[in-house]
Amino acid sequence: MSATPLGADFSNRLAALRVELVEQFRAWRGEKWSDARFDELARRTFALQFEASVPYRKYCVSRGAEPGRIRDWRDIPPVPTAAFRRVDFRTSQGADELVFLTSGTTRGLQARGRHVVPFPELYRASLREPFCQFVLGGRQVEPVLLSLVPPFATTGDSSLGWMLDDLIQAFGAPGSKSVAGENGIDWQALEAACRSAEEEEIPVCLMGTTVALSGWTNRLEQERMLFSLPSGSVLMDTGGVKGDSGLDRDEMLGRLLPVLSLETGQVVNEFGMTELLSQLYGRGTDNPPLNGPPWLRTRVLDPVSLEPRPDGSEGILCHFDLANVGSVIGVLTDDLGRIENEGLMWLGRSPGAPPRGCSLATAELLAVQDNG
Amino acid sequence: MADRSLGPMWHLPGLERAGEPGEAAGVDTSEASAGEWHVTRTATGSVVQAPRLSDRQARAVAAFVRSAALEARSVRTHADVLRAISGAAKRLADPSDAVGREAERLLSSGLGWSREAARESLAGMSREWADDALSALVEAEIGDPALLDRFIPDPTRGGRRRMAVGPPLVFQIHAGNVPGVPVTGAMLALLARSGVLAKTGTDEPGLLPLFARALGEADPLLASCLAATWWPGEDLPPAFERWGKEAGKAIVYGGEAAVRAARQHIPPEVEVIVYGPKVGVSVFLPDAPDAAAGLLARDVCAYEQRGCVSPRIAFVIGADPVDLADLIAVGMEKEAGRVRPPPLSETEAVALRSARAECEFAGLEDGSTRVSGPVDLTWTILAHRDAGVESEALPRAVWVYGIPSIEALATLLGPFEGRIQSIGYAGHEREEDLAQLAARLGVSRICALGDMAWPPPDWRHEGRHRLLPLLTWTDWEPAS
Repeated sequence: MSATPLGADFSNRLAALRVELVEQFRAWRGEKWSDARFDELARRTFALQFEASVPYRKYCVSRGAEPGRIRDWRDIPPVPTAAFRRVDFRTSQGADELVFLTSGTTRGLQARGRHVVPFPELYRASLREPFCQFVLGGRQVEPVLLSLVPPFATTGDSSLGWMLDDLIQAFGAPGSKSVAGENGIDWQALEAACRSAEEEEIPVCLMGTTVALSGWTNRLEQERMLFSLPSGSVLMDTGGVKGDSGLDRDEMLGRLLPVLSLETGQVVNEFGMTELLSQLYGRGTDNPPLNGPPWLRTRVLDPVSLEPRPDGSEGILCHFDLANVGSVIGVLTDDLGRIENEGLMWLGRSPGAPPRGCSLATAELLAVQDNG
Repeated sequence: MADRSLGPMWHLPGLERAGEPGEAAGVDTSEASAGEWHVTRTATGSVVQAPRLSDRQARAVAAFVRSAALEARSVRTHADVLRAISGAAKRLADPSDAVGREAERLLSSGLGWSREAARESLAGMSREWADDALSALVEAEIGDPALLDRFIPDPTRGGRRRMAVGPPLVFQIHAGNVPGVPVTGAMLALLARSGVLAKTGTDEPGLLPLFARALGEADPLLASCLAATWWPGEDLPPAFERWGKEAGKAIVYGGEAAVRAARQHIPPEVEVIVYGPKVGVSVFLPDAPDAAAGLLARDVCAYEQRGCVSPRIAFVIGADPVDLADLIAVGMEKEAGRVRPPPLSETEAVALRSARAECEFAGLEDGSTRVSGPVDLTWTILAHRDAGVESEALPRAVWVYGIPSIEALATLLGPFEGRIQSIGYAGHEREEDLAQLAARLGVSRICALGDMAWPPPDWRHEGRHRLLPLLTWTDWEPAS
């Protein structure tokens, strides 16, 4: 959508909400929020997004949902992730605007979605404290942060790259850096940094995708390399719990942790999506339950009717993230999961349209042709 | 989900001597153990189970079928075979026959199809299985069917005699096709006087064993010429390699994975005939009548769109695709009332919702798209004023695109050369040009909308003969 002249009142309300949210995100130290508090902020966010985005407004109106007519935040129409492939949701033009791209799926010919982020300060505020609480255990340690993900500047479109850059800046002891770049991961730099942390007894926080960590595991085993990472060290892996490229996270961690002298309690799985600015975290191996900040709420819905499913039942995940003030608050995913007492169990991405008999999606037909 | 079994998903002559099927699966108890079953669930939760054959058992079945096929060549004529197989197949589509009721049950439990959908599909297939249809196919491909029994004079060359026969064993690999395709495949191989070793697909593993049992009631020897069982497509059990080695020819229907596995694991000297993944499309020419929209709906819903003959995309020339979508919607609604759609899997629901969202948002600003379909997702029309080719294999879903001309269609479909099974069309304006385009793209059939899912028996599937590729010819030039 294009920015529309929405007037001073709109701008003032948007600015006030941004300031308020940034303050609340920064001040958060792990406490829960009441439903009323979330609801009030969510309604204000929805009202602004409804006014600002023509496609989103049409989408909501066609579903009978308008600000002032919804019972609570649960009635706010979530936008399916597929819509990010077609529309830029944006409540305003920001001077520091970022555009993050999804990594793409096998579905469709126009596979990459775009998440426009007009207000990076909201992303910054929403990611820092939860990382501090869920990964660093409050401010107990000040580790060297080592990222296996290329810095944002390498591709200019990765939300994960941007996030890890920011965490290094915010929490990293001297020597913190990304060891990845255009040509992949510099394993020797990573290993040298780990060795030096080991010698100086400064804890490290290793951050990478499950796939990259798997590659490192293979290499360390091959090279017969062992580390004794100082206490307080953490390994944060992102993605790949289930369903991604056939990788078995538990199997990988079972091999990697002994090599690094880490315990299972020193591993945190991070769950993030390009379309969301807040994250969920789960400590431990074996698909740990995920928890996040109170400004991110997740619902489990019936895939056909979109009616809510009771806790403990599987369904598709729908996230409401107040940090998404600049785009759209509700995101309906293709992910399956269920909510339990301990947190959200993420069960993987729905695999997309299965082949029906000998009939395939046209994109898959082209892929077949390329392979054949 | 209900824990219900689809029943015995195998017919394995030669193993029956070691015990009744179902009792340790007729598997030699000295070899049977906990891991001796292939088990899975269909999308509807029905249990599919079949014995995991050891190499020795697979070889024993192959030897038994081979010897039965060779015996049948000398004691059965083509007419005997034709009568027995068409008679057995006819029972599958007869709701007054216990075999027909069991066939309906297999489709409704295994695929979640309504009784009407099951009945209609079986009726559609049975037209292909009828003796006159099979006779027409044989005649169209080889002329005189007596060639399959004995040497007969060759009218093209005086004095020469000819005979044609298939290899003693044909290995058929089915990967979740339209229901009934495995039965058709086996019938063709039996007509070629070959023995059949068939691996059925997970979605519909039961009709072929059922056919074999019906055949056994009419002619036990011919039923012994056919072995059918199921294993998961991603699996490579000993029977795969063994049957691949024993067969003279192998035929792979459907999935890319099955094709790849066959090419890798079947010895190079065994000819592999592939019926690979394809798509069906339809075209509305500028003078297409409104009624064509209903015919498209009919074709889309046939066989629950599992076949490559069902259209997944409609291209519209000289009319507004968004307006046309309204007409198609009427037809889809009518089809939903006539033949109840099966329940959706979660995966299908997620993918349908995603496809709908993408189409809806693409047109929210300029109205260039329209999503039609009920909230329960049972059918979906995704209409786009702009040209496109995107589509997905989703139930009762059709993508509609506006295109300016047949030339534009040629450009759009160029990359899919050899991948389009059939084109259904309506209207006459420049139909000759459309047919020429179809030929250029390697499309095996272009026909009227409404007929797409029901090709005539002598249709050249994938543009090739169906019986002929199984046969080897022997020319006899008698000594003077």
